[in-house]
Amino acid sequence: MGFLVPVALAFSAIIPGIVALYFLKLKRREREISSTWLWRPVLLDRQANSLWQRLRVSLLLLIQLIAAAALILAVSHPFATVKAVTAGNTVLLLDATGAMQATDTEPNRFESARAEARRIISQMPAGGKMTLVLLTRSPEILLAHADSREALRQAVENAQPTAGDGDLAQGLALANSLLRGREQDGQIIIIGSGHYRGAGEIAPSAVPVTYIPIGAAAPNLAVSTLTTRLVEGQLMAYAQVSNYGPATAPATAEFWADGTLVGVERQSLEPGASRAFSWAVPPDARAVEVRLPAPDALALDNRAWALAAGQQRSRINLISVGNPFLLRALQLIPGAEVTTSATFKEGDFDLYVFDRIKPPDGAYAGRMLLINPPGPAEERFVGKIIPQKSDPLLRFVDTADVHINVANVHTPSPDARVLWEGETEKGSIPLLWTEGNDRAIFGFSLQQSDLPLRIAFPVLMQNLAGWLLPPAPVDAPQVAPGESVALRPWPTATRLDVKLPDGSTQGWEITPGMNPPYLETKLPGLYKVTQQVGGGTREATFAVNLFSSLVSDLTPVPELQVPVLPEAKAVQTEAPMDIWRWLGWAALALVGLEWWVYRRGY
Amino acid sequence: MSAGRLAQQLGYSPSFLNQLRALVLQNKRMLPGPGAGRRRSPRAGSSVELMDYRNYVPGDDLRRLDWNVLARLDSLFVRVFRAEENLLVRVYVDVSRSMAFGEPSKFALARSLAGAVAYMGLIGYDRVETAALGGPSLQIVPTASGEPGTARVWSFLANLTPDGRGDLLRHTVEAATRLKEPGLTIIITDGLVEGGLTPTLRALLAMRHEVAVVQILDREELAPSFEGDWRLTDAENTARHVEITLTPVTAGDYRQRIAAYTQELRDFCRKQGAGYFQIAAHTPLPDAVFGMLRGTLAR
Repeated sequence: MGFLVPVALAFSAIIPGIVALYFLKLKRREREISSTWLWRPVLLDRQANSLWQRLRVSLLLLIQLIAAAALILAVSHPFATVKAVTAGNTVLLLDATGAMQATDTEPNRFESARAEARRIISQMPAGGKMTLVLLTRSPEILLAHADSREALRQAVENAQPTAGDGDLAQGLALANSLLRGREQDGQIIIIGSGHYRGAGEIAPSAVPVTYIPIGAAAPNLAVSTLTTRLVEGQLMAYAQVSNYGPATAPATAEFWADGTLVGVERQSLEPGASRAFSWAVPPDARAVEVRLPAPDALALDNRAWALAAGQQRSRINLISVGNPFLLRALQLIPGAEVTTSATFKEGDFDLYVFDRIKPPDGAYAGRMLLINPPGPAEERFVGKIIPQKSDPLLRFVDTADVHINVANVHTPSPDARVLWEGETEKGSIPLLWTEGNDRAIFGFSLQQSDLPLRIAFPVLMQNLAGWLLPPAPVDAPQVAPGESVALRPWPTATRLDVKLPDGSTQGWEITPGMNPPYLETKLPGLYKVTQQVGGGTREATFAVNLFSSLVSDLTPVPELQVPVLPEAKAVQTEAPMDIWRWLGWAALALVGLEWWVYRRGY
Repeated sequence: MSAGRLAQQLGYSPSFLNQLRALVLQNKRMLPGPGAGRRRSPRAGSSVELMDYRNYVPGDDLRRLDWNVLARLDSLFVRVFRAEENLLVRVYVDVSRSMAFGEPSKFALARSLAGAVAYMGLIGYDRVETAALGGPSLQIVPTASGEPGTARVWSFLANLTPDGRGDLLRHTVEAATRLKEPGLTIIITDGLVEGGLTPTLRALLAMRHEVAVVQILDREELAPSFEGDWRLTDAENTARHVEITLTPVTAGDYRQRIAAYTQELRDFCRKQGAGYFQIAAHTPLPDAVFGMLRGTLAR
């Protein structure tokens, strides 16, 4: 027990003053009334009925003296020394995973965690330092080695929970690195729900770890999977709903397609059980969604989204006088939509295949596969094919039983990437090569080879198409909250915009070759990517879904198993606990009591 | 001073007086009066109302002999008729110092009420005696009857001031025993006397008076509005004072006390067949007069 402002105790001098004022004779005002006959019994009653009548003045005086003493003590800022949870150097890992948005505590787990954090900050010892780390998938330092309680409290207030899960191994590694060299009085405190990634990869901690669990077992149904699949020509949506709550719960799942409710199913789920739901996706639907409308402790996992399959199709234009082998090989490319024409006409195609037809001259920068382009070239008989076996474009392409009769002698550019060469009597000539990153050229006619009859042909065409076709605008149709998405703009795109599930839009002007990673996947939902290409737009969509049992499982973890090095020992410290607020409230209550006593006339 | 000016001083308008003329003071019991009048008397007299028969004794007026009874029974009976007398109305006004309190003062209303009741008695040819009690000494106006007595009574009332510290009980008994006829006694007071008004009423009732009490109280007396630390001095005896811290609790205690006292007075009057009427000092005169008459004294 001590005083932060002991000089304020000098105010005690007012106490004798109060006593002196009280013992001065009470001056009463004079008033003549018609008769005191009925007043005298009132006075007698009060004297007879109240044992305290004689002490009335003394009682008020006593209350005033206590109130004054409480006020004087309050302004002198007394403190009590208590055993502190925090050490001299503390790293506080504040769980900000999606599970902390659960409402099983009032108002939610994250707010309860904040309250715990504030309590720990208030116990920080004098001269102590504290680091605040937000425990998410990529732990984030909010404030490092701070000794200001106010700054720490402000950082706690500004912290916000995420929708994703958290990586404890990373969080502890970060905390230990922050405490390197301060292990003697270091400590890590984790405030959270207890379900984290990387539980098996945790390196032993060099400082003691204290875990403060937040939350209680609470009912929670979650959409744990949602996918679409083509089954016998019908696109189907498959969802899995899991019960993470402690009791059997009826699950009502709604199936929405492009914002329209198209189906509802009900099943009963035992604790820990999962049930599959399936619906036929309407033919024109672009995106589907599953909702669990019943309220539970965590709303975050009650919705999931998926894209209707087959919307990301590659458009290939075959310009040929007729080549059924080539057409068939192109049609076998997954997701390809092949159209044929006899002459070239520039359109909205991802790849042009010119079969023995001269490609356009000029500045056309599209992707092209040229099969024996006509031109002034010498024909030679090819004896043997020499492949560049290490080239990934020739992966799984077996040339052992492929024969070429005659090939034209072309002259690739100096930086061309030659894949096949042919042995002729006049030396080797290029048979298959690529130019830049948008053109592949066969130097021979398919009609002069048995290649189309070999298994190597569709494999080679797959490999070439995979290299030539532009990548999908996004690298993954579905990611978890907080995961990055690689955006792959169209080669000639000038601007790229992403519309978030909350309706806001983020956009960038882009230059060719720019593949910006997109990191703002904090909200679950559908993200629409729009590219400005020439005068038009190209759109793509990806979904952010919380399919994480670590977030959805709200079962409290009473003890967190964290390995600790043997030399790490718990540090006992003491911290001052302010009690002036209590004294202030007591003084206020006493003043109120005095008023009440005075009004009651006791 | 003329009756008109006195009426103005006492707050009576001509229309108000006209309304009073139409009313007659009502007594519950038959009371013997001091002289012939228009009210039924318990005594035998010479009205047309047959009261009884009795045996003829020599000297009786033969005109009162019942000839029909004589013819049928051959016995001599004389018819006895009820007498018709006037009523002795005593109007007593409390002029003690406590009556000066109130806004307007209780005494102003008491004086006007007394004048109005006396006027009704005079107009009705009753004998009216007016007295001021609780003053330095008993002040009394001898009985009068008929409208000519009005000016004397009103003049007496107009000249009264409420500054006495006299004994209300003693003055009442002294005034009531001046004439032996019991009559109707109307006492207008605030009732705030040591020991209460009951002993005074008991004395009047013991003299077989028909009593009506009009108690006038100010709103401050019914519900004090002042708070704090006070030294309260009795207006009628400055040696008496009360030092009290007036809080809502103590004020509540007082309110209960005065309510209990007025209720006790009301219950006493009801049991003894006396009239009781309580008026607030700020009540307008016509409302007070007609309310009082409606309650106890008029028909």
